[in-house]
Amino acid sequence: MDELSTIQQLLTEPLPGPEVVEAARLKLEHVALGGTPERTRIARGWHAPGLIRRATGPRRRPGQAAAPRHWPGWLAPVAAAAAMVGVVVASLAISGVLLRPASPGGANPTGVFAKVPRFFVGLPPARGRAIVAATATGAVLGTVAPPKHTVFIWTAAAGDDRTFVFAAGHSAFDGGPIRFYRLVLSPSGHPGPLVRLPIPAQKASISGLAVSPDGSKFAVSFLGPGAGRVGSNIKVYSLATGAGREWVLPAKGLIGQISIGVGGTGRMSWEADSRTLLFEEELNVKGGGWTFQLRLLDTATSGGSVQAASTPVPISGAVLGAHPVHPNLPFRIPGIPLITGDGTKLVTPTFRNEPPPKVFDFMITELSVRTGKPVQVLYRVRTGYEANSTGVYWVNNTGTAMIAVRPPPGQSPNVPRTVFGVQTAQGQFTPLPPKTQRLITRQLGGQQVMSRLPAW
Amino acid sequence: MIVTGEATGPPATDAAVIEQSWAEPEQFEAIFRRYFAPVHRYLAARVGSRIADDLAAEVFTAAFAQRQRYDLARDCARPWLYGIATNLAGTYRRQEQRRYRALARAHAQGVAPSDEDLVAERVAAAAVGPALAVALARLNSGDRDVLLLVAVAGLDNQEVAQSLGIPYGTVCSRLSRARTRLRDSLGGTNPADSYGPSDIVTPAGGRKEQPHG
Repeated sequence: MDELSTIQQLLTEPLPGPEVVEAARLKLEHVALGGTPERTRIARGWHAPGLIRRATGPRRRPGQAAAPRHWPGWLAPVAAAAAMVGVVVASLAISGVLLRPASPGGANPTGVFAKVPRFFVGLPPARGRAIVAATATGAVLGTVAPPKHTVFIWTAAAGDDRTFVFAAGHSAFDGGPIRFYRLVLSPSGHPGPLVRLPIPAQKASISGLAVSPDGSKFAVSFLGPGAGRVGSNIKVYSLATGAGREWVLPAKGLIGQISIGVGGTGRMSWEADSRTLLFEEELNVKGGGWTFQLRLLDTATSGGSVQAASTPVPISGAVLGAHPVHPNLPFRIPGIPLITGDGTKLVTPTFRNEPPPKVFDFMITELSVRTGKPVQVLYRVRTGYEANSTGVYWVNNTGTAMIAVRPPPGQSPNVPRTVFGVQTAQGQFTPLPPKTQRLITRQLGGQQVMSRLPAW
Repeated sequence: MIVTGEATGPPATDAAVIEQSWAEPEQFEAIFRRYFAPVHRYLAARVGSRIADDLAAEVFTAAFAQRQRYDLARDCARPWLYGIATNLAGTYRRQEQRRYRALARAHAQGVAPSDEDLVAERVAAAAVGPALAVALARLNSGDRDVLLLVAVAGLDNQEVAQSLGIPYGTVCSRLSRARTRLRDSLGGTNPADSYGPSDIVTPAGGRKEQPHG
């Protein structure tokens, strides 16, 4: 060993963690787009599965066949979505809460749409109002303005289909202060006033938000303030009193997902008992690197260590996270799965690369919480287009119905297009009506982009 | 969901990607993906991970802003990026010196500096670390840049010349001088061969017995 290798050993640092990479990418994106800080919020999980820009290049040589391209899906869709939403939101801009006639949004849905929440909130990617709309019809039932001088950062729905919690702040990444609000819809789905919850403003960046099925409390995960995100935590607050409990990760790491490009499944979810919370943690490994783990937090405990109050779901960290799939692994889970209300299953998009190189096998898969093993593949498509990837946004108590994103039935795998729809455990898929699709996604310049983040 | 799969076919050269990013800025992400982690690691080695978090991001925003001036004859952007990183690290020279001294102190005193919680383990692994860190701090900045681009970033002499915009011969002479000074400061011998685990040079120049256990 000479002095050069000794120096190398002396100064060796671990590779940067994902949150550092994320922050750097957002800075670069900000420079590249000349965008506002709020804009960067889109990048943190705003790209719906499949709803990403298709390639326009590279330039082909004469005679060279066009090959499918797999885009990282950032920058361009962000710009497109932000620009588009500006127009839409401006067209809706009326002060306060804007109400629309009750019908047809208030009508009771039938068929498969009766199995999913009637209403959803669509969060704008930049400054502007959230919309409240009917799932089965796409009728906009009202809009909700963020509190003055703030933007909406996160939102999540309770199991009653009428209660939503919003987080709002000056920007998603300035570390707060972030305040929380409750929105309750009328039985016909019309939004009531946005009410500030009695919770002190939080000075941290949010990495996840989930409202309990009974609507009595919500869980929010925060990035730790220190180097390596030491101190990342989950807090659970009562909506009625604002009383909270806190569980802290006693190591370097983060809870939730802030990675660019992860689909709409990047959040925590509750079991129907409104006590058990599924979350994902990403821990720094001694010697460098990071590892993922899915865990179930018992929120009836009095707080303290996240690790002590939670139990792991037996799924290998090797298959978690949106990194390229290893050829020897059966699949990868790129987002955070959703847990069914009965606590028995996880539903999640999965994928693997298939030969020839870069042909994707996209699936929607049910896994057993007890064993971590796949129980059933609900959908599978083999395609050359990353834009055909899958996602799950909501699931019912037993896993028999979910709101998912996938290519519509009958579509050729050579067409890079996905839609939101109701997926059943029997393999049936019914796309949401075009009017609902248009509230969430948009065709812009021949590309499908996400225009609002939906929460059911 | 975005799958971070690689592009079909052989990867484009850095020069091709950068040229493409002139018209399609989002293409620059490929450069970011390829080099962010090693550039961050290099900067962390020099100025500590906390400063490196911001500085590495700055390297890529600066590179993005300068991409129109990139010499497309150079297929690999690594030297270019490390050059920017080295220039930026130069603005933190004081912190860099402090870091090396902290590394030295960490082992000599048996404690880690407050913001360097991995330091103690590393120094323990490299028994000659404290003396070497002090010697590193005493090098002039030009010599240290060359030395660390070779030792930490893993560039060869030609790439270092490209990084710093100096002649190849200058790189060789600076590297030679830096290595000589390191050896001199450690008693004129190869440091790793000179001291056993129970015979460590302290920053003050004395020797102390390695703590047991």
